[in-house]
Amino acid sequence: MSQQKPLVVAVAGNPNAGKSTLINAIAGSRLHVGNWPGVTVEKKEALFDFEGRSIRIVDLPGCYSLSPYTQEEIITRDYLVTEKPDIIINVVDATNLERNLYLSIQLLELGIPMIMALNIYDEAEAKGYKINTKQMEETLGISVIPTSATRKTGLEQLMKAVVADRLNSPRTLNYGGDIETVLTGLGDHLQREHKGLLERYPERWLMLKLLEGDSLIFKSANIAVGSLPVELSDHLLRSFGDDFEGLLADVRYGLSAGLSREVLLKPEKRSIEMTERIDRIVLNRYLGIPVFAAAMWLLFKLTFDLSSPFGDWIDGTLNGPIKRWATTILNGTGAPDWTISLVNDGIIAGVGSVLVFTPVIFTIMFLITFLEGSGYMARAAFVMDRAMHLIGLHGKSFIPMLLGFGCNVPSIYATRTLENEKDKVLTALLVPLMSCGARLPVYLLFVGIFFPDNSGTVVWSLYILGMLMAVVMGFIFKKTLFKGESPMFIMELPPYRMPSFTSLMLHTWEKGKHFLVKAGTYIFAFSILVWFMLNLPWGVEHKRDSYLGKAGAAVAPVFQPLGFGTWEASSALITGVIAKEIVVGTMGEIYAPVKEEEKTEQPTVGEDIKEIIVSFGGAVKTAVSTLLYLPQQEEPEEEQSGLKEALKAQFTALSSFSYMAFVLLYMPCIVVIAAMRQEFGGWKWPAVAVAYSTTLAWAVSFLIYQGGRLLGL
Amino acid sequence: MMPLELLTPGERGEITEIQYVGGCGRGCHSHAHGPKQGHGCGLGRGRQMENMHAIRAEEMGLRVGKQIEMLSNNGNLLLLLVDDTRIAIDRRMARSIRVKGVTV
Repeated sequence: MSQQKPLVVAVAGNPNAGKSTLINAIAGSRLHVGNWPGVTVEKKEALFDFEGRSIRIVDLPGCYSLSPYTQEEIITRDYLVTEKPDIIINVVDATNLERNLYLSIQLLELGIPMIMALNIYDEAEAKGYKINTKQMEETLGISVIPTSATRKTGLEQLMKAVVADRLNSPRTLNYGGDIETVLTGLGDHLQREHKGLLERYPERWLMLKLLEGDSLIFKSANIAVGSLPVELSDHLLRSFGDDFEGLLADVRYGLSAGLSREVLLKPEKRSIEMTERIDRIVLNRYLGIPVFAAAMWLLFKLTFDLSSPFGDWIDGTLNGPIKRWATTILNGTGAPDWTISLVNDGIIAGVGSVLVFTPVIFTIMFLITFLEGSGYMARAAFVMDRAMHLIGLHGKSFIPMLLGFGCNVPSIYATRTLENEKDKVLTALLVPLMSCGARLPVYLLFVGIFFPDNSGTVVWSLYILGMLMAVVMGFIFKKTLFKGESPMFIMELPPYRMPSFTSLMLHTWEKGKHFLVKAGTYIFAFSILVWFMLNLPWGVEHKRDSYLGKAGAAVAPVFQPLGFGTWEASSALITGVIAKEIVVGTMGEIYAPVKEEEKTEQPTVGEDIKEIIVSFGGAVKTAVSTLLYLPQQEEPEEEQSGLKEALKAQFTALSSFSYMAFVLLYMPCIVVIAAMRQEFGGWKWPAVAVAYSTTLAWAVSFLIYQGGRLLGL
Repeated sequence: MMPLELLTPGERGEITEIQYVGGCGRGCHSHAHGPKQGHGCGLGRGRQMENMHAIRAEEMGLRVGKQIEMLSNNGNLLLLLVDDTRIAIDRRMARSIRVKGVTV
């Protein structure tokens, strides 16, 4: 039986050291993913038993050191210092020992029991590296265990070492006579003046931080800056100058370099690795961009071909059987008609319009996770850097922007991969200008009516318009809200690796879940609201007299100079805020209310279930055959002649283009707004996005409509 | 002694000096016993960001005395091999790093 209190194991290591693969391999499905309090950095935890011992494993964010300069570093050190885990597993990339040891040496300063997982050991061996782990164990005073997370070797030994009673107490490394003298003096001083602090913090670590002048520690330890006896460091000051943080960094670098030299034997000649061979093509100055374009084309092709049949299937299932079942159940409980309408036309229709996008989101997330895990994503950023400079961003921002053409929501979450807060926010602000999939149905409706002969060109021009506006707005933002030189750029290009399937699935699910949960809750609430707006006041006969119609009529004058100042067009724009394709649905409802079709026979539940299964099979078939370019039957388009006639009467070609431009550019949908709020913690940036994009939309549509009229269109 | 920028792909060099833009080389670390300027405090802006990148670069292995190999040198980004890590840095940063050539 496991003990009462679980053994708390913290896992720390550099980014790209294979830390998350290692944790996945150890904890697997028991892994629980959340966020660190107050920040959007992921926190992974798992509770499980190993050899009768209850273990709680906590994944700390990947970082290069314990300095207080990035969110990841601060989270890691705060956790280690305040939560005091029972043991640390330090995951170290065996192919890159020296750099990884720099963090290890700082972890040792904490005096917490530690075990080193010498990960990616298989690759190091393949490269011909020989690592003397025995000597490492002796020098550091901790167990050093070779592992390979991808091949799942060494994990058993690692966990055995964790639960073993063997003491893994780190040795105190000598930082050199001068520094050690100061530390001893400082220790005596703290012993006399700040005894309480020594109980709160690991002693050596605290002294080193005070010596470095780490202001976060001064603040949390409540020590006045300058209150420490200056004479302690006089000697140090005279011999090395006042940059103690730099001095200590040099000492630690020296120790990690020295240790790595001692224990690591590299082959004489560097062999040309696979990574280098692939990079020669992928990063080639001429081939780089074509390769990237091909990869992206494949990404979109796979996403839409694979997922759209399933989207249609969800759509069909919700609108057919689910609605019928809801009606039957509600009728059975004697619910009034309006409740049935609320559930069917409000909730199921509204939430359904978002659920339809889940296959797209999950597929695109899976492929993106694959590209990230394989190492190609960093290359894409490298290749696209030059183009992104046009809008004042680095190459890394390109990925979120590109995702925006599918759906803006995952793009907002993808800004997480950017290190710099400024780049994150600016990218997120520009993302809504990428014409997402939800805007396409609106374009298709209008071009079908007003530009039947050159529909492709018109739709294409709207995509281009969005990108042009991104360049313009990027330039404006850079000159106003985000002034100042962009920070220097530094990025690691990890070696190519095959991501493991389980970790792919896990990350895809985590990313997709955000969409499902957040989108689900917001959309649910807004769907109910819109339904009430369309159906209140009670017993409203004509949609024009509903609250939505009235709201539309109220804002309509604003759109007069843009060519679509009617209450119908305005109402559709209001509902379009939920998701832009709803514009089409609302127009359908307002212009040409569908007559309740008299169903003579209701299919039974059994038939419904059969239909759902059969249509799912159909979706699989369609997905496979599109993928393989098999010919398939064209489905007959739905007739919407009533709507088309009504639109013809209200719009001209010019005003319809102005309307499409407005739909493209005006405020992002609420799911995007919710995602922005979540990512940037607060309403400031969502508000900026709503304000600028709506203003921009109005200005652009105004120019299009009035300019067009001047030209006599 | 020459700017890192001048290495052509395949050439190796040893870093002799790092002088990041904004005076942020080694000397930008905070001062012991008296971080009066509030260096290194939380996630600030401006100089702080520069500082963060300089320290990040050091942690990734761009330090005085290190041997590097130029892998790619065209456009705004340069690709370096430091130890066994491929690091991309921009030209502005590369200009502030001086190297002496090393024959393989």
